[in-house]
Amino acid sequence: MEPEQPAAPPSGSTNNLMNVGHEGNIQGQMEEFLGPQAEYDEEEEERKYYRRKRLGVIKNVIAASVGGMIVYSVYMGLLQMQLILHYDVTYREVKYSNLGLEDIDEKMLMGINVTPIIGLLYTPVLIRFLGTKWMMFLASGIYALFVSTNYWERYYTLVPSAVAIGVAIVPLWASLGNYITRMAQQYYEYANYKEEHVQEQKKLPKGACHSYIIVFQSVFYIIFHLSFVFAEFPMRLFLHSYLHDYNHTLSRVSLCGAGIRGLIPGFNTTVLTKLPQSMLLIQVESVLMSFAFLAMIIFLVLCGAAYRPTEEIDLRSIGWGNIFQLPFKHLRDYRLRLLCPFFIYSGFEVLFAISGLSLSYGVCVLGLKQLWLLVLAYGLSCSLFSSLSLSLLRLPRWVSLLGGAAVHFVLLVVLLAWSPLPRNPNLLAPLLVLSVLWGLGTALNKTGLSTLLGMLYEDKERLDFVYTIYHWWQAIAIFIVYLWSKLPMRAKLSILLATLLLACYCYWVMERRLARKVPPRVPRIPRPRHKVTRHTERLKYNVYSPEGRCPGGSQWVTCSTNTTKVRSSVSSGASHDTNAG
Amino acid sequence: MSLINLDLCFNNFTNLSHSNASLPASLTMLYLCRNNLSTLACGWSFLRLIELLDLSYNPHLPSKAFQGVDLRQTRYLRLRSTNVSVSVLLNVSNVKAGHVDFSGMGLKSNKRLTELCTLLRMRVHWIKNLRLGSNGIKNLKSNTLSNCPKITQSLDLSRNQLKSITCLNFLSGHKHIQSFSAEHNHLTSLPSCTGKNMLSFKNVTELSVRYNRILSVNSHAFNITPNIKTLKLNINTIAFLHREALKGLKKLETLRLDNNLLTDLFNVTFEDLHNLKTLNLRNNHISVIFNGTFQNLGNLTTLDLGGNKITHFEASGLDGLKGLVKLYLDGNNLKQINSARYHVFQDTLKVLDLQKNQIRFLTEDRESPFMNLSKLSDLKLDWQMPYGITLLPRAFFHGLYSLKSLYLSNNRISHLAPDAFDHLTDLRFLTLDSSCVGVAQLQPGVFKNLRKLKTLIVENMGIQNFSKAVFGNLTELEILQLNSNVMRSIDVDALEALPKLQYLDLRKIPLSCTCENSILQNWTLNNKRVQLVYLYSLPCQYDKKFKFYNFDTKVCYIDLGQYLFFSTAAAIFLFTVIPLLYVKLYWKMKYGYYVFRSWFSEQWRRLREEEENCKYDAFVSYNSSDEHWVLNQLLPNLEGNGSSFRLCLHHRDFELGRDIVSNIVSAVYGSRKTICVVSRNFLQSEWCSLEIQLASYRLFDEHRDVLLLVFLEQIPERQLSSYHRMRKVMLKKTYLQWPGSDCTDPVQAQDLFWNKLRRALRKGSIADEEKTDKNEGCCSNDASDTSLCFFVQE
Repeated sequence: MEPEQPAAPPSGSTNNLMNVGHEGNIQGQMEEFLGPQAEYDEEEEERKYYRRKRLGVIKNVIAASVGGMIVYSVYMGLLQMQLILHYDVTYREVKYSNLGLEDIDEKMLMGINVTPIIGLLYTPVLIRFLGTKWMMFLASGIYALFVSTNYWERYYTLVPSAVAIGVAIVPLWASLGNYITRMAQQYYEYANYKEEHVQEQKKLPKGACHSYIIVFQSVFYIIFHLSFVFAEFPMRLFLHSYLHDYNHTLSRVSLCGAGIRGLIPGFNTTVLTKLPQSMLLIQVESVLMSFAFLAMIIFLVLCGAAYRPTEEIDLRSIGWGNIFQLPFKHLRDYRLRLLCPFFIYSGFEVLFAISGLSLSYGVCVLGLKQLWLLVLAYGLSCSLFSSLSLSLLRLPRWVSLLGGAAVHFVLLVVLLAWSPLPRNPNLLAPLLVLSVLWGLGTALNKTGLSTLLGMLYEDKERLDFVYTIYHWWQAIAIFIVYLWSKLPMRAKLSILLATLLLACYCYWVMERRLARKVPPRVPRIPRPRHKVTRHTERLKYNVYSPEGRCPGGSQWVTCSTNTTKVRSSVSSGASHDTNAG
Repeated sequence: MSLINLDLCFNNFTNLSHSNASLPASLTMLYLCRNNLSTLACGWSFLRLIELLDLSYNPHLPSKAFQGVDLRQTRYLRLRSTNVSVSVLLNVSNVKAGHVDFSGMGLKSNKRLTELCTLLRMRVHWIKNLRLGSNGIKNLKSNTLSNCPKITQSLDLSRNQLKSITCLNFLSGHKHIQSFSAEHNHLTSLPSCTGKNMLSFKNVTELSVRYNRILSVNSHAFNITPNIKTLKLNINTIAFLHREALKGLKKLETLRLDNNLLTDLFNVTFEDLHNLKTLNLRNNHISVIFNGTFQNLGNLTTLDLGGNKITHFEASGLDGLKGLVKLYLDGNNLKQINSARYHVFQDTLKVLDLQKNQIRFLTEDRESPFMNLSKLSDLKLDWQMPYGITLLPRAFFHGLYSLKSLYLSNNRISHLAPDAFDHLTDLRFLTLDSSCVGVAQLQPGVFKNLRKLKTLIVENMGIQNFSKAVFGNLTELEILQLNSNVMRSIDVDALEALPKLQYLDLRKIPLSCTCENSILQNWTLNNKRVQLVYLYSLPCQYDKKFKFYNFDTKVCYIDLGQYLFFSTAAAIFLFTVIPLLYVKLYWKMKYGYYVFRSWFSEQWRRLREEEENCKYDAFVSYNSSDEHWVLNQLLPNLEGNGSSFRLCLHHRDFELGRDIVSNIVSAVYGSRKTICVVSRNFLQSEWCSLEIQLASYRLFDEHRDVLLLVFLEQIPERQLSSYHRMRKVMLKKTYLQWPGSDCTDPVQAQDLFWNKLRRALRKGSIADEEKTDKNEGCCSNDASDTSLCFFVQE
């Protein structure tokens, strides 16, 4: 953001070295210039300034959440619509004949699901090279590109863009998690600007910004989970009138739920009553496209940078080799190791909700026409119950994670035992309840994990590594779900259940070790490589240059503490705040 | 228009009562066969104007019905299978006896025939045609018909059960008869009719004994009818045709011998038939045509030898056929086309039928067998057995300039050369159906010379795409049959390129009901010119329930999507990349911008002109950490201390309120030289590097040597390498080294340093000045140590 850092009241006395010659003259002039404003209330101005900063942080969080929500609404809505359209054999035959669109879809899903496996290799490098905000912006651009390629579905447009999405998924999520947590830290800094450790830019005291992390993460997930709701809009508003009812689509389905193998065995290959007009399709895609574009603009304009430029230089300057290695080194930390099953489960459950639960239970019983309702209920409950994690402000942190796990455990046991018969619209209410409850578990799981990571790793230099690991494991889990789609439902449920139990056990072990204060093996972050010496006499550059001549960001504080006039730096910092974003 | 012919057969009339109505005056032919008439019950004049009246197969119609009906005008009255008796009829009706057809009236025995003759004789003396068919006559005594009126034209005895016609001896007294027909009888042989007491019918021109069981025809069998012109012996079982059976028939023009069992033709068989025009020998068992068989048939125009087993012609087997126009050789066992055999009639032959032979070519190198058949208009080569013709030799059709029709279907041709049909410029009809093996690759331009072609049949050729390159030249084409090919889509442009097309058959083509064919669907439904056969029953491929004419094309609208894709993808790409580049390359771009601006601005030019009176002698670029050296050493030594250089220091001389970068630019360009005070700190500073950048820009791009490098510390090269911008300059420039404390005589070394610097400052900034003079030792008393202090970097 702005390079100007709030400075301590001028100490003045210590650094008199610069007072030789003209240097003193300038200071004198400045004092003269500022002198007449007698009513200038420094405290008040400072307070206002930091209030603005705090509002800026809140704006950043909201913008990032809304941006991410729009990106995923558009992406999931489009994907769902296209997969349903392409599922219909008549549509495929008429529109693409020998193009083999089913094959393309398969390849596309493969691109989306398989590519993230290598995400661990490049994500931190990418994030640190571009910066967190720019990473989010770039990812939203890639998602928008995917929307754009759906105008013209060809092998050579869809598959590369799907691969690009696969490349962008882990960096996007890692930077989102990093961003939200970082915002919580910034908010703390701006809220407690008078504290010495803030002014000195030292490490924050342990647990200082936990409450902000909890609030920000739940706000993020409250907003983000609405994407499931908006993703159903194309389905409900556009595709709904073209779909056959359940008597047609489920005519050859004999069983649903736990007893089946694959998604919906016997599902009719024609689901569309008539083919939608392509002009209409283009209109729908254009609406989606404009929203994707809106998301890009939100990321570009409304999201401020997560780190100051000096911090970013520091983050970068530990060397690309180190940046590359550090995520792997972090895996030696027992906290992350023990959380891995939970990361994996987190990936399992969200994909199970939209594929296994919604399709093999929901659509299989109610028909394709009710899919939107189930996913909508799931999304709404996710969003709503994400606010439950605010309870962590009062309750111990394991409540959220284990609470969600308990809900899912019960649901999994129920699902294991339940094989409903198809074509039974009376089961709508129980299925909606199932979706809502699963959404409750998802909400607690997602917010719990992100919050927990933010709490465990307060060090701003490691956030991106940690979130990269989290979302990489999640991506691996999603890949596994993609692989297992042909398995019997009971096997899938059992894997879910086993993972859940393992995850809870490991988490419990971790908490126990933390309680016993077993020191984790956290890899040392090397000092920035650029050689920095303490120079006290670079004041004069601050006079004419807001950017200053300070080499090395970490030395910035020392160099600017020597500024004689706090107010000048504050005001220039404020004025540059608007430019630098 | 007026009604002439009225056919009311197969109805259920029981009578013809008509109240007051009458038949139109124009009506002359009335068919009432196979009704259920039991009486006519019509007015006297109701049938007055009818000339042809057919009342056959009305089994209950009695003779009395004709009482009171005027049939004087009737020229032909047919009463077969009715209940009419001839004798009663002739008594009650005024119909002319000679105009009644007596076929099928139960005149079975000789006695009843004699009675009929007597009755007729009472009324007429001459009768034109006597029809006695279907009467079940088993034999005719020689005197049975002698009482009859004289037959002037024909006697028809078809469909009786005659076993023999005994040299027509029952026709004694009917010398004027012209035509005799005994088809569908049980004749078994035609005996020899020579002898003294044989009658002779000089007027008979036509004799037909078709559909009998004649096994042998003996010599001189037609001696009694020497002037016969048409002789029909076909559809018998003639195995033995005596060499002299046709002896003396000099006026014979048409001879039908088809569908018999003849195996050999002798050179005397047709010896006397000088006037023969048509000879039909189809479906016999002839295997070889011997020399001279047709040698006297100079007037023959049609020779039909189809359906035999001919394997070859002897060398002069076809000699003598000087006027042959049509030659049918289909269904034989010929293995090759021997052009030498055809030279006799090569100028007259118009039709050559070689269908279903065994012609096959395996090599290409033979000249056209049709070379001289320039009048040939019809050539059939289809259905070669059993392997097909396999290969069309190069220029196979060379010489067939008049050919109008060509049949090549079912020939399993493996490859159609692109010039195969080039010589057939006059072709109107071409059928190629099933003529290829598997998938045909019709070469572009294969039909390029067939500009008069009206009908093209390319059924079942395995054509994969219907392209303009192949079919585009057929400008006169009217009928095109494309059925049973394998193209999934048809380009409408190619169809539009056939301007005269009227009829198009697309059945059994696997046309896919996909967007690819949406234009075709539209064309088939909306074009006004071309008739499409069974268009509304063409099925879709993926589901036969759907029809091609109405598959859903709404979903196809590809173009707009494509444009939107390209535009949005480009927009998103730019919108993503430009901010990223802006953020990442902001400073680089800013440098570039200022350099660019100064390059073009007026100010730059002015600076160049007034270079000598620059504002400053040198702009000192340094890092704040080296400020004390600048202030304590540089300033006193250059501004004071005898020399009066005007230096530009950023903290002293920069214009207040101006942008830093423009300050730096104007400082660099407003000074004759730029002194860079290089230390480690300097190298790390972004601003310093901008200053170096700008100065070195002047050095390299304007050829003005403005940069003076002064090193405050020893910086090893490997450290420099991490500051690549600096290194780029260092590689090109010499520089001064501030003598540090390790010099043996620092004071003297420093003096030397200042001298060098002053001299460098005084120099003009033209690039071609020598740069080498700085290569001097700072430590004059230790010459060997020079490289430590001053050195030249190449």
